[in-house]
Amino acid sequence: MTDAGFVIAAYGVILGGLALYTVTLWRRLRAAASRDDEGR
Amino acid sequence: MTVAPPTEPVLSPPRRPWGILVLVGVVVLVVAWLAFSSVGNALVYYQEPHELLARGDAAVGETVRLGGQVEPGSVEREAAGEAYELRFVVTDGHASIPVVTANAPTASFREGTGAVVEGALGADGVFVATQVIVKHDENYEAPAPGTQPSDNSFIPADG
Amino acid sequence: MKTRILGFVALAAVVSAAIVGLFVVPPDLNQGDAQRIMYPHVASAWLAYLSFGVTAVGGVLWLWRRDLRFDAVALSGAEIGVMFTAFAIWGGMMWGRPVWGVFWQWEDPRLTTTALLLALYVGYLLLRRLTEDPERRATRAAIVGLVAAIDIPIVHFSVEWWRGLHQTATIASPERALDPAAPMVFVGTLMGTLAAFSLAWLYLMIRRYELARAELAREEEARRGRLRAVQAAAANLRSQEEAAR
Repeated sequence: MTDAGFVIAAYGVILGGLALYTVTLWRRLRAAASRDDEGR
Repeated sequence: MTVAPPTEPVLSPPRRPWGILVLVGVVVLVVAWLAFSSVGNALVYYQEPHELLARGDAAVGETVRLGGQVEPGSVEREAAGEAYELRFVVTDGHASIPVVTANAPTASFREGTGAVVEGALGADGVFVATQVIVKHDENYEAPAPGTQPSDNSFIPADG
Repeated sequence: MKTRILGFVALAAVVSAAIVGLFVVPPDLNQGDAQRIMYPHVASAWLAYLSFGVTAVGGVLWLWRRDLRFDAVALSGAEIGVMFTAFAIWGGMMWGRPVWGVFWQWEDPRLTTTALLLALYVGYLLLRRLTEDPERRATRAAIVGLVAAIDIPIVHFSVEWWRGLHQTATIASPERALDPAAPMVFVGTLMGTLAAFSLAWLYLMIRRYELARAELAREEEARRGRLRAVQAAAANLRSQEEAAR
């Protein structure tokens, strides 16, 4: 793998990981909110 | 019509905290072991040339890591077809050991840079390395205007 | 609403920082393009320290003030810290292979103590799942969070205390803070990346805290529900006894 390949792998996983965690967090928040509604 | 409300413990019976105490104990021990055994040189990542030479013949043939600077002016490369050979001297300022390897290091290899080599010291005093790891330091430098880093590059396979 | 604006600002900042790190700053003279990984690698490592520091402080405040909101902060710090630790390790491996020649060396103190840091806080998160009662869980987590925090300074100073492969600090050490061993464009890019990642960190901490509060509220609701069910059953039994009499 070339240097560029390693740079892309590093940035890709870090930025992609941040995005993935954020989206997952939104899903979990939405799920928690909808469960609250059922409780009421 | 008075029913006493049940108290909390009925719903969640208390559990013994032994598990957590054991876990905390293990963590403390591991941390302490890591902190103090390394200080006591039990976990030295590499030996410097003067340390390896001080052990005399006992060090010959033993697989170790040797670390130091690549002595400026000592690097010689030979690449003829399949055969590749790189020779350089690792120094710590007090002692030096010549190193030979058949495995090319990365392009960040330089004269004067730090290097950690894995292998064994031969009876002839030459360290035969199976791997050369380049230990770059904390200093960074931008290339001069109009130049590329490749202009400064060590090309491992270059004959 | 304000949090949402923070989210947009953080997104723009992280994207800009990545563009600067990838395309604008020059590569390092000796390490070449691989050195560009340094920016997200170091920023991730510093935010991991910050996250776990928040977890430790949150744990202490829970033990002291007995307010579960502090435990929610501690949990948020641990989860986000695990993510940033993983980023720092991944970035370090991707940087190490082209420059050192190896992805990983177990005998290097910085690498080993960082792996331990990740394991400790993954353990922290697993431990929280084993305890149902929120207050017990908070207390256990606070203790583990405090013990695990011992590793934070060990990770940071490992490069000074012990011989290893990992280089020492370029900026974050007493002698270097005012005189960094890098050109200002590199230092500026690192600081910009750190600022951008910090904004993202703040946004994620706020959202994760909101989630922790929502989950606590749900647990509390479920507990009240069980309590009501038991009370109703007891009342039912009582009235049956009275009717039988």
